[in-house]
Amino acid sequence: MDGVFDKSWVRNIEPVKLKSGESKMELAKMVMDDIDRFMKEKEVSRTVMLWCGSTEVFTQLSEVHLSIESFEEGLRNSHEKISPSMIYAYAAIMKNIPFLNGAPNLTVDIPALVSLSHEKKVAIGGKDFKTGQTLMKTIIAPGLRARMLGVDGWFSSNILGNLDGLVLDDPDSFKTKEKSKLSVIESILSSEEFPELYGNLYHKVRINYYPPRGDNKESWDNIDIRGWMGYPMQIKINFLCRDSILAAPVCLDLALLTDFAMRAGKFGVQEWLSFFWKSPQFKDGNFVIHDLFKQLDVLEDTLRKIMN
Amino acid sequence: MTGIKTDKEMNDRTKVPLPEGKLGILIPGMGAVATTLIAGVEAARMKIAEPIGSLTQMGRISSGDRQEVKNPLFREYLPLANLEDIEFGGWDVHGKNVYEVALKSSVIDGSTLEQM
Repeated sequence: MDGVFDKSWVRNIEPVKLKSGESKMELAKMVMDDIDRFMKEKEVSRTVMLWCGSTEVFTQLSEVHLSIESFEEGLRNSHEKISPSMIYAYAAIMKNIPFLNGAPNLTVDIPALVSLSHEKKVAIGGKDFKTGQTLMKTIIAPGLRARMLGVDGWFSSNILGNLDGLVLDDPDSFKTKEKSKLSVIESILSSEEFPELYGNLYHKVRINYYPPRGDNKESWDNIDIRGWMGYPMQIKINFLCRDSILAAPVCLDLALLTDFAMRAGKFGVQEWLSFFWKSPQFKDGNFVIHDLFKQLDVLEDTLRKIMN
Repeated sequence: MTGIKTDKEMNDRTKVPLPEGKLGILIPGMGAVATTLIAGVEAARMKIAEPIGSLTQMGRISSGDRQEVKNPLFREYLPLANLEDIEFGGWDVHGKNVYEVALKSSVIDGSTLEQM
């Protein structure tokens, strides 16, 4: 189906076929019609929507995102702060379809759409599928922390040549991604809890577009750690990963577990699915868990509670 | 806690409604990730590849019983939709079909795609 696209939100893609409408509200209605048609034609009884589109230009919460009323007014006026991914998310939630945000975009992480998900009793979640380097970080960092080893620096460099890499070559899209990638280490290796171990941690992430590798990403991590009596040590990780190969099973699990959650009567932000997200969306004021193993515990606990 | 449960036993135990009918997965952004997902689900249905990396398909949930050698699979423990009951749909702006995109992203080799 032809997509909703706006060059000002994803600059490095040239659209071939796209929807055009009088307003963003009209585009949302067209997406809703597409949903209806899909469900009828394919004879499906339930649907989930999974954003696998591009990283949009960095944007912050603004007035138009704060309430359902202001958001809907913004859709009618084609407010510039409403991105294409928000249009899809709005359409999905209005159709009682859960929305999962596979990119680091703001999308459903705004009060207007969280409120709407409660009103419509729809599950939502995000953001950014946890794959590649960040997956590796959330596996390694909890181990270092468990052994009370200090970390002075974590330098991460990536090359990738797929569309994701091209889009992230735009500094404003990278800013969205960088934010998602940085918070991981800071929350697991907490300088507040362990100032002696992580008080001076310097964390740097670089992404470089390099077409020859296509979807096969390569990352280099240098971790400067400190042990007994402050003696320095180094860890080097060279991960030759396949981005889509790591992302696809995450997509499947999220779709199946969210469909299950809907049948179990759960709605709003699904914090228990943080296992799958690079930058998990949590309810206001709740502490974000990044540690992969803690995330798995939460997931299993939640399922046991529902099932027993 | 182990062993495959019949749908009825499962429903008696949980009250979570069973996944009746088909599940649609709608995807804005039919690029490399989406087409790799679709190809992998199809490959698993055709039994030409295992769904490696999927918690719901291959993972086991710890039952808390340490005498138990094998914990139950997630997909036995929970009433999840079967891979056979999934329909995919999506949006994009490139005007290409799923096969063309999968071929172009060259994540999965052409002969495997051809087979599907």
